[in-house]
Amino acid sequence: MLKTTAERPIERIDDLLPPALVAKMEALDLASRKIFYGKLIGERRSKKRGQSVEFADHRPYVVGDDLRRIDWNIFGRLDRLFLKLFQEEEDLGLHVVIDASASSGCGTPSKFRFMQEAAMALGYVGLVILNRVAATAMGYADGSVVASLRDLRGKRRVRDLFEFYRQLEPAGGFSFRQAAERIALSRRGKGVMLVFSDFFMKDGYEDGLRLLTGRGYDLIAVQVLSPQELEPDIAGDLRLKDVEDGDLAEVTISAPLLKRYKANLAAYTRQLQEFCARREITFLPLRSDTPVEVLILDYLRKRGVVK
Amino acid sequence: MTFLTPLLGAIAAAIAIPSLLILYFLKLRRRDLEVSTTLLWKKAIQDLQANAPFQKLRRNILLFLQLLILAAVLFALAQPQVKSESTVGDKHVILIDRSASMMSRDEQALGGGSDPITRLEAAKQQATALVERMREPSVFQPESADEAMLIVFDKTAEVRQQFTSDKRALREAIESIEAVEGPGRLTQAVQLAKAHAPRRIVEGQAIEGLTAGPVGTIHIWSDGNLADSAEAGTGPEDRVEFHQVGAPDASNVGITSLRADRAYDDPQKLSIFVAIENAGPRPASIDVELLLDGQVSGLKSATIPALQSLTPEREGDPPVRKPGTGGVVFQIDRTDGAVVQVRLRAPGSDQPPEGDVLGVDDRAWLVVPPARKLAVAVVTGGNLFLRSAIEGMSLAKADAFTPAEFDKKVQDGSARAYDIVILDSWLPTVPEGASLPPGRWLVLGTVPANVPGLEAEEAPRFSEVLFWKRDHPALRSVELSSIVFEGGRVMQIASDSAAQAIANSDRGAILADATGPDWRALIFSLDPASSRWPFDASFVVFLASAVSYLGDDAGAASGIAANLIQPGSILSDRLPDGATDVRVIQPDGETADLSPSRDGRIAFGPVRTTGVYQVTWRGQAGTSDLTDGSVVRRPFAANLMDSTETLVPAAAKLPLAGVVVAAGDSGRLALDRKLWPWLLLGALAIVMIEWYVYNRKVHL
Repeated sequence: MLKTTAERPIERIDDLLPPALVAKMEALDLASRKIFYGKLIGERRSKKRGQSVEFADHRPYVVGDDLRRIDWNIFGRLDRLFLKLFQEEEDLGLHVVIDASASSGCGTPSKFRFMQEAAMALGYVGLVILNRVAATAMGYADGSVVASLRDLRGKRRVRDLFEFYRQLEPAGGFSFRQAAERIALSRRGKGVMLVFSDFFMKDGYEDGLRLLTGRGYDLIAVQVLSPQELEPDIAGDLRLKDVEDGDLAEVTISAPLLKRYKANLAAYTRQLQEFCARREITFLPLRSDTPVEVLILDYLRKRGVVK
Repeated sequence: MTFLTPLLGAIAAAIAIPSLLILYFLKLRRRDLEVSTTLLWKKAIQDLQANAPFQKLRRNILLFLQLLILAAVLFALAQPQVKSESTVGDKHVILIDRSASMMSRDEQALGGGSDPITRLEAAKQQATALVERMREPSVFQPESADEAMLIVFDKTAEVRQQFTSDKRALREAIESIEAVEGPGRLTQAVQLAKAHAPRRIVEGQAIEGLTAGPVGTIHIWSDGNLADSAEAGTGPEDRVEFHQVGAPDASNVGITSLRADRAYDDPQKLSIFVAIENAGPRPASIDVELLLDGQVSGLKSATIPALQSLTPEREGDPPVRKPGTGGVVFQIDRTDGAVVQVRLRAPGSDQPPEGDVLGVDDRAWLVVPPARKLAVAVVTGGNLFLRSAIEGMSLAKADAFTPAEFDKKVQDGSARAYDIVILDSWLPTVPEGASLPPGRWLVLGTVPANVPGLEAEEAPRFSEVLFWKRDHPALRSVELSSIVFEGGRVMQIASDSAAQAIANSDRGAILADATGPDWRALIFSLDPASSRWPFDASFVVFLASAVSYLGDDAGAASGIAANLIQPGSILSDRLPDGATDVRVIQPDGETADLSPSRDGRIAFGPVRTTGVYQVTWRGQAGTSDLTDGSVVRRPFAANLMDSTETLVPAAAKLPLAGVVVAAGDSGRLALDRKLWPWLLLGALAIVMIEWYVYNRKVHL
């Protein structure tokens, strides 16, 4: 709720990616409810039959097929040419989008820090299992709507990912619709997309989410709210200032008002959830004080994002 | 600065200030707070507004506190009271001078105002301020309230309000004071105040004449022009505060005496003497205007020297002030009676003298009776002294008769042609039971019979006059001591008699003023001829005064300057017998009915204003009375004519019998207004505004 004043600075990669977490995540893999085709062969079973060791099926030979994959045993027995098809393992795109607008900088612990840590952890998982990882920040301060780092692959790129996240500062506001447009146009291939945000968008989140669904991506919307937003601990006569657009609201905190606020917040979240459900978007509400470990190893696993 | 109810104030502050602090913390000083989004808050406020009337009242501690304050304020406005026993507050005796000099218009109103107000108005305002400052009965100690009583005085004093703490009653009593155009005397007022001192109580009984302490603080509001202040018997235990009103340098010119005289040998020549005093610091040039029956008949200019201040004989006494004196004399020829009015004017104008602060003494009236000579008969066996004394008087007719001749005239009624008959040791024959025939008589050397309450007895061989009323008109300037009378009679006069003793020997009355149903007489029961009195000048003076007294219906007053009264005193006179329908017409035209007593005496007043009072009746007219058909008219002139009142500059010190009281600082009091009602109203308004603003802000 309140703007975060002092957050622990990010200096080393361990600050965003604690070694204890790394150890636990080594065994994880990303999953998608739909298994998509990838561009490169990765450590993932693809629907495409390919060159892996796992046998999948046979099919008749047609001219132009690779002669090396003819099942000669079948030819000897039946005198007909069949091709041996194997399950192909391929890469899966992992696209992590975080909301870097000023509102993310609020709350204790900071929502943005939570998003950084979660994105870093997920990116690590993706990189370790040779997935295509893309990192995007929306509402980036220098005027552009998005900043991104894409097509990272392999464990070597963990440091690049870390550097990307480290230099991000939550500031300003942005148009979610524009940002979503940009992201949707620029992404390639197929994979999983996680969008971390509080989804408090005055011009609505519907258009943006609509743009991000489909096109081969499995969309997961993670709503991150600070404990102060969920349970406001403010009192008295206040002039509330919106950190993004400077809008003012003069309120006197009273029990009925707080009750009303909470009811509104619940309704807002429920609306978002229903919107996501209708569009096959996985919705995941989170508190910013949730440990990243719990998010990765518990919540995301339960929802089948990782396995 | 005084607190009327300090305890109450302290308690109120002890409650109000912490409340205020609490309110301050709860007050609308909005803290700025940055939040991720105002989206949900605005929505929440909008939702709340939808059913605002009920939401507002729900558990709103501010409103609750405000309601409490409101209730407290309203409760305070209702002035709650409880009864309990407690101490007694201070006592104040307010003495306000309402004499003529208090009408001087040289004071400033409290709290501003450009027009000068009279000293009495200023005194009333200051006294009201004192009343307002009195401690009120507090909620917890009703008996601790201050009490005050109000006495007003001019020539006499009057209690207008007994001791009370009821400020409204005191205010109203003060407000109702009106000036009397007469002199001021303090003595009676101080006596009256001291009479209200608490009685000493011995064994539960209040002892008359013994006081248990001073009456309280005596506040005197006056300009200090009180002739008798040195006789006002304040004791050393009395706290006296002198609140001086009026300017010490006020200027005034006034008439202090007005007298008329007819020339002895020629009664037609009328001289009118006007004495004028100047109490101002500069010599005054004035015009003196004479009006006869309302017509201007004369104008004279005069310059009156300025007031002199002489150093007092004793150290510490106030300076002796000596007004400049002067006068004019008008000489006119007038046989008829007239009402004479004298007015002072600024030279060459119709305005009052310049800088003159007191108007009452700028005019005076005088009733001049017509020039009329009396017809006197002397009935004597041959008293040469008597005859020669009468012949020497200026009379219309002076005849001497023997008793036999006069008895005949009484029988045929021609004796009524004489105004006064002097009887020398002889009485006319009268019907059985009567004492004298109708008429006016000077009886010498004998006593008429049948006068009620009057018994005559033989005098011892030699009698001397021990006591006589020197102020009786017939005995003025008459010297009776060391005159020995031989033989004669003395009179024993009962207290309810129609006769009144005016001279006594050691055995009884020897001179009586007697009244019968249709006669009046002066009865001298000794025989002047038996003494050396006829050789004395005072015998002639007595005869002349007695004749003049009997010839004049004024009774108590004789001479040409009769019928003069001073405001503050009672108009009293004696009317001829059988006067009915008696009325007094006052200067302002109002009339009052009077009923004369058995012997024709009337009393009216005390009169308050100067001017001409007319007593009218139906019936017999006196010698100098005016008649309009059947109505007889007798004018009286009420004048201030008091040198002390004309001396208007306010005295800084008031010498009382025991002590000289200087005018305190309180002489010019600042009027303290009560602010608390306004403060309360203001607080109420602020609470309302605050509430309004608060609600406005919450609803965005």
